[in-house]
Amino acid sequence: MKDLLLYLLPIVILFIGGFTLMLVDAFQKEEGGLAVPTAMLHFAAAAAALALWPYAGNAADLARAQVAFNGWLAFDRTTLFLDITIALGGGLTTLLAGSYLAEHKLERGEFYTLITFASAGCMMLAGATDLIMLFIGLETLSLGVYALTGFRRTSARSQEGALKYFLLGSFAAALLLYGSALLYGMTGHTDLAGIRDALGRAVEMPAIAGQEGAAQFVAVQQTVRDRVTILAMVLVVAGLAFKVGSVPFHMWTPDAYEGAPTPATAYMAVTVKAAAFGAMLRVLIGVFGDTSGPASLAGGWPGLLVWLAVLSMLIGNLVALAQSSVKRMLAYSSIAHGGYILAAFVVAPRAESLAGGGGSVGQSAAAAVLFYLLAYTVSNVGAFGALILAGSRGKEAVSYEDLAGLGKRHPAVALALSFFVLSLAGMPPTVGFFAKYNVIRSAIEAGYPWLALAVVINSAIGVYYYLRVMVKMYMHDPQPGAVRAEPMSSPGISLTLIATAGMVLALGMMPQRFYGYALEAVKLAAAPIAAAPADAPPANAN
Amino acid sequence: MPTLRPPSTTLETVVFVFFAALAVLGAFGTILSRNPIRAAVGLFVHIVALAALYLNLGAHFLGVIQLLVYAGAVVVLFVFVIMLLGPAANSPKDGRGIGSRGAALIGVAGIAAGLISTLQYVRLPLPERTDSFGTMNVVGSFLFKQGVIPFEMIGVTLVIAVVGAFAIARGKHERRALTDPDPTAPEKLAEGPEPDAKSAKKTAAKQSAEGHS
Repeated sequence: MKDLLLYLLPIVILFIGGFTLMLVDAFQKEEGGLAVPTAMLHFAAAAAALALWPYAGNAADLARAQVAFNGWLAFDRTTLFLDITIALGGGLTTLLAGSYLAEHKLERGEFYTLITFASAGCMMLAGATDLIMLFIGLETLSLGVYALTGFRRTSARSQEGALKYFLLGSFAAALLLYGSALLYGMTGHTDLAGIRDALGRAVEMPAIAGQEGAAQFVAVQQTVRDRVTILAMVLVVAGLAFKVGSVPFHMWTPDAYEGAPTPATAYMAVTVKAAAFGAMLRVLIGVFGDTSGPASLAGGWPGLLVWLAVLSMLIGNLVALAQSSVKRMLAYSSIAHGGYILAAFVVAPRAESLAGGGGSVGQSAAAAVLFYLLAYTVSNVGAFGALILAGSRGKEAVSYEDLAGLGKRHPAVALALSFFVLSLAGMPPTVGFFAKYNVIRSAIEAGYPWLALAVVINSAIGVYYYLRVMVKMYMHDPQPGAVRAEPMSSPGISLTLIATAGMVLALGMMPQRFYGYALEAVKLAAAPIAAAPADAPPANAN
Repeated sequence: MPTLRPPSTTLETVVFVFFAALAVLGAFGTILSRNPIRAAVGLFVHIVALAALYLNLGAHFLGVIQLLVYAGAVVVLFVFVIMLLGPAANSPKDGRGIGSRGAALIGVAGIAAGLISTLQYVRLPLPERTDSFGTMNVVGSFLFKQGVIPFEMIGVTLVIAVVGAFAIARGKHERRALTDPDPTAPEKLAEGPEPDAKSAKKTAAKQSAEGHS
């Protein structure tokens, strides 16, 4: 029990903190004031993950954690890296929410409880090594995010976004569950390592061995298992691709992003993505990663994913061009960013698989995924934060027109928005540049030059609409009589933005160091995770 | 081939035959009765008979869960909905045409064919049944020892669902006096369920009562 609490510390902090927040909210007389404690909880979880980092490199600790977790969750640096990304994103968006909710009269304590528990769900999803845990984590974060999307109860748009997200999300969860059930039926395992091992073996039926027609029967069983496994893999990928909003499962994204309160939008964009991509990393590369071995029957997923990646980039960027709302533009741009990350996925299993010792190319691609998630988290939180700061109650900055002339009226706010938008566009020396650079480099190294070219072309398309924000702010004057965005005065948001900008620059100035951490994270995870037998004796009874 | 153990004693066989027949009768009652309440009662009988079959197989936990969840919650929910809808739910003309009956028949035949062929050809790697399989003891010890992590995490899932529902439901009634900053919000959402009409009716009723007296 002690081991369990220790190695699970980031999630435990959020659990206990979430329940404490609920109690405080129930007993305090006035609403509000919970933003800073919630952010502190997230930062404490990030610090705990950071403190556990050395432990995850230690064989004795890994063995103890494996006994304590009993095959449900992984204790490795990939999980810790994702935990830090999730906690950072959750903490920063909470700080933004503190001022935003007060300004827009939405201040209710549930917001912070929901974010805290949703972050715990994200960490569960990111660390899940069992399909049951994967589903529980996914549902925990999804339920929280649905409620956050519909938080602005009096706005029809918020309700519309939440309802669409909820209905489509339930459908996607059902697909994932169906795929998981098929995998369980085919292998008899719900833990990922067990599924991988079972798929790696040929079908055996000792009970009927020697009987007449047994060999033929087994051959039929093998074919059935192969085909059903492919179907299951497609269903699981579809369920996860929905959560990251990649084309063609992106329909909910613009409505949910636009309808949600802006801090909730930022939260959805960064933490949910980080968790879902983390789960994808573990399922696709951990279970089906060996695209050449006997488990290769479902190893065709890079061919499936490459379409998702290219379509996400292309459609996300092209539709983003046509948007008049900045929030919607950021939603489509997040679809495009999901496409860039998926491109790194396609590359990852090339050469050797991660699970089977790991080729260096595959590892650098997986590290590119992690680095991209971290870079995207800080850049996107900054961009949404600047957008929040640019508006105030009744004078929100939503469309490009609202931003016209902001550079003359409020140069500081305009500068902040420009800075983060440049990072999203991928301009050096911001971190956005190096995130894309890593993806492109690993694509070229793995022998996918055309995929690298697709990323470059799409980044160029992206620059157009990102720069349009700056052109509007600095070079256009507002229409006479039009509603103008008036920046709110909020020291909290300003401080958050300064801290975020510092992170964007630090990651951009020292990309090698942070990329090195990401590489370390995937390298250690590549050590084969011993299959915890499903019928293991009750572990850790103390 | 590891399959479900056939009933080993005469008593088990008798219990099985009785409750299996009851389950089939209940299922027929559900689909054949025209009164929705009777259909719900048929479903209830079917579910209780299934629970008895589970108990007969030694799956105590599953049997109790079957009673609690299906008989206790789902059927009660159905009955609630039927009662709430009232006579509107009782429309015998719906779904009684040849077309819909034929479609239902084809669907049933398809599912039956699928089930039979599955049982015939696909052998899932089911573990051998032991005597303690599915009993309270084993399920409980699994949940609280090996399965303690997902068990606790599901607790958080339920909490977040409740908090989320509360967050959305509470916002509807509270702070309605505040004007909404979102220009897209239609006025309907910002208002309550027409309080004026109700109070007007009440006053009218009061006036008429006063007029009579």
